[in-house]
Amino acid sequence: MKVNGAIPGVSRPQFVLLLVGFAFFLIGPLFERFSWVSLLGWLFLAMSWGTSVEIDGKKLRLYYLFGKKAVEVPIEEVWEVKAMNRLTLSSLAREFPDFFLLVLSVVCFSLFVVLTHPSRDYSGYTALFLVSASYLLLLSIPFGWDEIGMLAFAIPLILSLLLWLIVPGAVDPIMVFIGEIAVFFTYASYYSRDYVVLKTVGEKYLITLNSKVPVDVFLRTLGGRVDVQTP
Amino acid sequence: MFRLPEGMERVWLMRAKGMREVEIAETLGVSRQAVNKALKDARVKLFEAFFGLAEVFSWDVVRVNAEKGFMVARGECGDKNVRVYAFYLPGKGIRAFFNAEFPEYVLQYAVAIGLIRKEKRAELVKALES
Repeated sequence: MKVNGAIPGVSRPQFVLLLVGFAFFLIGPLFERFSWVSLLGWLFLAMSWGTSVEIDGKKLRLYYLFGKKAVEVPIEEVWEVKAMNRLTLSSLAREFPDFFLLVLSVVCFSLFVVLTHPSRDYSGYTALFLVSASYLLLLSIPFGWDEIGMLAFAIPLILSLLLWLIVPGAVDPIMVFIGEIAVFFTYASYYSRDYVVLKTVGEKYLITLNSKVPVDVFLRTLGGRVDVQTP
Repeated sequence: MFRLPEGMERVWLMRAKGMREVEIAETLGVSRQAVNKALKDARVKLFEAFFGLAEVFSWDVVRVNAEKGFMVARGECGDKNVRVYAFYLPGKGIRAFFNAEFPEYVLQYAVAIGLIRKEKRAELVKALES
């Protein structure tokens, strides 16, 4: 049974594809001859995106790679479920530190490029730095403190001002504006979804649900599929 | 009242206290497969019990941890929103507490299963809410 509106988030194979995608995406534009490599990065990023979630008997299938591959999670091995948005002190950074480190490395790498190549040709990295730094803040803030998440809008302005003071040539106002728009969409998308974390022995899975799918319905579906005989 | 069968509860509690399946099997003199099956069944029963409880009282489930045996939910009491923390306590069954008003025995139990280190309410709330 397909769970409409549910999309798998971070799982191990998806994370590997994401890692490769970001590596190509970040490094490609630095080499003029091999700039096509960044297109390969987009391809890997697209492959890493989850497509759908299916509950089949006692198994949960999380599809990715354009719906061609699935991670199977035996429901009876799930020992914890969390509706992240409803917990006051939970954050995605705390729950998925490897994903947090990936975003952090994107921030650091793009900042490194901005500082070492301060020209208009590399202003895409300025936008990437501003957006990824804002996203890093969203990942780190507990869901219960969503008002502080509004600070994400100030991050591009503050960081671009600091960058401008250090390396004036690295800041292109248009890229800052584009970065601000990207942060707006990132913020809106981040807080309009519900996040459910499933833990099994040694593995963690993230499932995002759009606002049309109440998280309770999903959790009950998950619980109700387990065949239980009461004592 | 919901209770895990005695043998299953013993295995589950040993796991909740941090023992590995092999250690439990050696202690009880049973096979590892038997321990694994008992734990799987216990998890499923606890999930069902917590979700059932939430459904009966129309609480929104926030978190269910079947390994340590607790649930965090949110509900309404009159016109107020309340936080509900429910624990499966061996020998007692499920007990629910509103707005972190935990009695001492819950804090002691939380320390015993390694959920918190010191018997402090704030520490327990932090562990449950993160």
